[in-house]
Amino acid sequence: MGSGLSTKYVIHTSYGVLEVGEKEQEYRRVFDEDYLDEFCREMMERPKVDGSSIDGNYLKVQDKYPLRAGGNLGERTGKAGLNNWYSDNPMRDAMELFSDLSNGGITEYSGNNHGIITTFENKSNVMFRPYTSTEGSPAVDIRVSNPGMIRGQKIHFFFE
Amino acid sequence: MTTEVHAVFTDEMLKILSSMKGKTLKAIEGVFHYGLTSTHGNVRLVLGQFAVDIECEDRIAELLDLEGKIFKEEFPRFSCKKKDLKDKFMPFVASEPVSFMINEVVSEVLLLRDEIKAGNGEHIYIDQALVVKTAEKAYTFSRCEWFLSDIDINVSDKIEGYISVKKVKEAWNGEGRYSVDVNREFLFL
Repeated sequence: MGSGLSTKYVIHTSYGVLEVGEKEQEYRRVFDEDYLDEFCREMMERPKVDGSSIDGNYLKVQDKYPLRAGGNLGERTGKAGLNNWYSDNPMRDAMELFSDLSNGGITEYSGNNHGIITTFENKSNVMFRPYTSTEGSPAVDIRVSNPGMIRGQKIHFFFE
Repeated sequence: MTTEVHAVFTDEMLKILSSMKGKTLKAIEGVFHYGLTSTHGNVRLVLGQFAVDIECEDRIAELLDLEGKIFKEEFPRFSCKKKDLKDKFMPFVASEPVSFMINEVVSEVLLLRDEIKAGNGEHIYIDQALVVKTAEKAYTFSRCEWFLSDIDINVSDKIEGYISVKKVKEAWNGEGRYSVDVNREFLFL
């Protein structure tokens, strides 16, 4: 699986495979698709940048992601903070949004959510989950501690 | 159409939480990149004879969409497990946990529970926060957004300041489409 771990357990889940190393704390998701695995590793190797934030990152790419009223992305679902994004390539768009918003934070695997999460100094974070309980829909979860331009939300990505 | 969601500790879990009273809270263990402020998914309370792992993990819940039809969505909820001190803490994120030493005797344990009745037919019970009080301080472990697994930690019991009823109503009013009643209570365990 090319993880660099000395694998102790390989757990097959409905989301893919969870690989657990010899050291109990050492575990990582192994995604079914190589490109996802490479993407997550690339995200985790990016350097931490002091003073970075989701709002700051959003300002740099706001033209790509127009906000609805209240700081929401995508289309409303009727649930505050739960939005849908439709496109011809949901996985690509979810990866791109995560990459744009996560720059400069600390990125690590999230075992329970089967994804990667980036945390910033101000308690805000952004998570990319390639597989969710909604079949075929990756998601990006955003938490902002001090609502600015963009609000805390979960975005499900779907084929249009 | 109506739905019910029970995002609360079970009765068995309430007994575990209650059993912390009179014990020394030795430490709080978890993955904290920026101090004892917030963590993702789980945190351990290390007591004298045992530990309690507090988790906020996804469960599937049935909610109502814009047309009033049921759809399934991840809805994290609090839970807890009693652990032996020799059981190593497994954080939900793949980083090394750290411990913040406390060494204070737990005098009181309480929960902040909301019963939410939304005008679209959703009826939700949710434990918003766990407060562990000692003679010196109060340690509050609280949720933030309903769809997130983060656990915020505040050395304060001023819960209304960060989980206000107003915020709860805004989360469940269908973006302003219908009214929401919130019955908030403190459960002393």
